[in-house]
Amino acid sequence: MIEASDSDDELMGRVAGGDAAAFDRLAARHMRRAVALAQRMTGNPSDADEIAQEAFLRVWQHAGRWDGARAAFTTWLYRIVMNLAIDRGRRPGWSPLEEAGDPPDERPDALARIAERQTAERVNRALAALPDRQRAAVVLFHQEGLSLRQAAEVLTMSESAFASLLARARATLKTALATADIA
Amino acid sequence: MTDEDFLRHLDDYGASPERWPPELRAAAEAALARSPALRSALEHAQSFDRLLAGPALAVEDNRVDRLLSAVGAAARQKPQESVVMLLLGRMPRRAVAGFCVALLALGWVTGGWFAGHLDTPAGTAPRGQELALLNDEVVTLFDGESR
Repeated sequence: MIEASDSDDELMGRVAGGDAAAFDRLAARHMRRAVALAQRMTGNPSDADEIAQEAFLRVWQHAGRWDGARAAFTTWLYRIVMNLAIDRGRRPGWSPLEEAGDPPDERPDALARIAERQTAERVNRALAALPDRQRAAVVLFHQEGLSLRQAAEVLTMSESAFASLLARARATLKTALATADIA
Repeated sequence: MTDEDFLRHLDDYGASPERWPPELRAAAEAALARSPALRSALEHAQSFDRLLAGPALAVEDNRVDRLLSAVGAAARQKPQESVVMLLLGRMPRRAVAGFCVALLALGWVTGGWFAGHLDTPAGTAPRGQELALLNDEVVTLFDGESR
């Protein structure tokens, strides 16, 4: 019997044993974040949907490989999503801002909103121009709010290597956005 | 931590010192407490971090429901990984390669051992018959036809 309070570890144990209901529960718990992460990486909702579905199918197929002592389920899931997004090899390019969501501060001033959208567009372009792993570092740390250690685990690197990757990404973005005159 | 160090880390890790590498946090807080200039630099850096964080990304409920429905159905059509693949999958690739080489070597050695110990037509042939085949005086029979 599956309880709403079942931990990810407990559900994964059942998924590894072929329990499809436990898989449904686990997918329901994490699908939204998986899609959001994929969309931030690809900048494309339809790619993000495909990546999220493929990621959960891999969770189902390879559930027996997951080792809770080595990584949290979410770390493993994020790693699968990131790898699929990078493998896809598509740059986000320009992401329609309607799909990216409105800025949280919705002022009635139309000019201000247009300026914000233009700024968001420039940031998206600068992010899209980054190498895949640098973009992944910014997405995980700044957009998903993971700690240095968590983000390093997702990208299977040491914390110091991740910190260095993040620093390079930030420097590149700062230069790019300064050129665009918004940083 | 000097002011220069603080500003360098601010560039590298962003405007939340509580998210910096653990060994830097206490010194960063102390530097901030003593320097108004660093606090001002931190505020400026916060606006850059807000740009990087981007707007909130909304994933609608019906989109999530559609994906869950699709992935649930697809999972029920797909078999899970077999036990053998699970065992191999947990091993590093070099270990898997070594395991395969060891299996081949074992097959070669046991094959050779069986060849040496089991009776085969060649192995049971009389010793003299073998020598006759190697002897120069082997007679070639004439088939009776002459020209």
